[in-house]
Amino acid sequence: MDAADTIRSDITVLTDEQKDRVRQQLRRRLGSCQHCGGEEFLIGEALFLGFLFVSEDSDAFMVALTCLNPECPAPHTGIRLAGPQFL
Amino acid sequence: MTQLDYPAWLRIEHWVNVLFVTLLIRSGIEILGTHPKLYRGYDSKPGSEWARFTRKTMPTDKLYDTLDEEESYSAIISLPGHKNLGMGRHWHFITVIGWILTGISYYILLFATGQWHRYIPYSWSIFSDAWNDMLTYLSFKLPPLLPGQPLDAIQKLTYAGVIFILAPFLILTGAAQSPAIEARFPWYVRLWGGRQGARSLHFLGLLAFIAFIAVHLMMVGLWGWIPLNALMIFGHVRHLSWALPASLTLIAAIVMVHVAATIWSLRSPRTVQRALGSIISYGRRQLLRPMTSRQNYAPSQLSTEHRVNGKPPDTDEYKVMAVHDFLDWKLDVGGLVENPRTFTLAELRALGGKQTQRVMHNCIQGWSSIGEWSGVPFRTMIDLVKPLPQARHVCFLTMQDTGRDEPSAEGAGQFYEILDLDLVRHPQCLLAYEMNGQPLPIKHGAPLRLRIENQVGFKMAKWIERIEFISGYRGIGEGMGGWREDNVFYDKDVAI
Repeated sequence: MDAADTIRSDITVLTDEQKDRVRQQLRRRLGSCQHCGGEEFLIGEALFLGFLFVSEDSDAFMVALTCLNPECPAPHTGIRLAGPQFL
Repeated sequence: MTQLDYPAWLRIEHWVNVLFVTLLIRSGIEILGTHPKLYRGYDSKPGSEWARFTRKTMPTDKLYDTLDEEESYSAIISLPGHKNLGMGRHWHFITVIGWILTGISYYILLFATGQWHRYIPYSWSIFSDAWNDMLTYLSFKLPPLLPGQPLDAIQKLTYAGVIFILAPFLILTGAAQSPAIEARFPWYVRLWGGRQGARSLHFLGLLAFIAFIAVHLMMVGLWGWIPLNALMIFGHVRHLSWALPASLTLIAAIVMVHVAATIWSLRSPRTVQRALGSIISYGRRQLLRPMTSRQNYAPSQLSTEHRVNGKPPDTDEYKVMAVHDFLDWKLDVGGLVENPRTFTLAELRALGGKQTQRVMHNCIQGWSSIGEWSGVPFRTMIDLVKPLPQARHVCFLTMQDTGRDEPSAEGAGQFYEILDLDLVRHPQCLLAYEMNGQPLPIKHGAPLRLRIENQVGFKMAKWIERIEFISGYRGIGEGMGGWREDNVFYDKDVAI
């Protein structure tokens, strides 16, 4: 397989169940897109921030969100969650 | 046979050598302190060191880099002390130049004047004589001198060993740590058991020199400090009442040079960087710049844990880009070019002509790792953007702000590094987006980093966002040719 098709080693692939938990967290937080106000997101994979970044808590993750509003000028965004909240 | 006396050149070179060797030892300890661990073989896998000179332990739940492992040693043992690798390197390399020139002239004069008889044995019997001398010393007596010579047998053998074996050994093991020499002549690194083997041997050579100095001083004391110093200062055993003050004055002068070098380096590192760096850089450009990397390590030699230096950009913007696999990242290439371009990661991958190289990474701190890197040869980028005739250098700007991201680094601001245009034309200069057959990991510089295999690691900017072709760099940052040159006084040309 070409390396371009493989997932970067820093990325944690989420199961459907884990993505559902992320969706629940989004609803709880009334999360909306900061660029267009859209409230529907495609939930992607997660990046473990706690190990890589100086300022992050040791259990912090960033989960990829893609705003589903076709008019959104910057649809790629993310939500910061603690591991136990969705893993 | 030549009378084995103490001609002026021999006496002068002796005292110059004392100065150079002591400067080399202190600056060498400064360099060692920046990565105070020694390894065998080629790489520096954490935990595999055979010797360590630090009590620091590193976290397991947070990315640490080798700047976090650096030790701050006292100025009494290191030059200038207090975590000043840039200064230590300037003093080490300028002294190496002086020491090699002194050594060459010493060899020439030894053989031209016949003084080599004082060091080079004529008969195998010297070994049994040396053994007898050893037993005599152990019985707290002084052995006889060799007939017609100024030394006893064990002294003669020791001096021969130091002058003709240990000193060249230190120069050769030092050269084996140059990324340019390693890149051009990989067999030379093998000769010393790998890059870390060479570094360890260099350290053992340092210990041997320190042991020699200790025994030498003890011998001078045993045989008579005053008459021997009279010989080494005046050339004959006369003016004995002047010998002690003269020897103490010479030693005090050498100490004063050390004190002056230390104070100058700590108070005005920029002037040291400019003054010493200009001489060293000239030598490096002449000798090492033409060395083109010919490395191609076997897949089995890849390091299982490739060390890192520097920490990723700690911004939400970067983290969001990263979690989306850098879909929104763009590389701007501009400045003094005919065709400024912007590339996405997919566009870089689609350029074709992907190049892969398995090479050794040499950190300026002394550690090394072997990795496989793939990406766009920089020559391809040059062909695409077509630099204007006035372009002389290339500036690599990154998303890293060192003050924000790297608490162990001195200084702040956007990390950037500048390379000469002739250097980035080298065939193994690469814009790498893959490592070991996988997308480039974040800690190694994702989405894009530079590889330039005949330089030390800090020149290989990670987390690149812009490349600019420029005619000069005096107006950029502090004008020294890169963030580390500006802030921690490293040299811009780092082929060793």
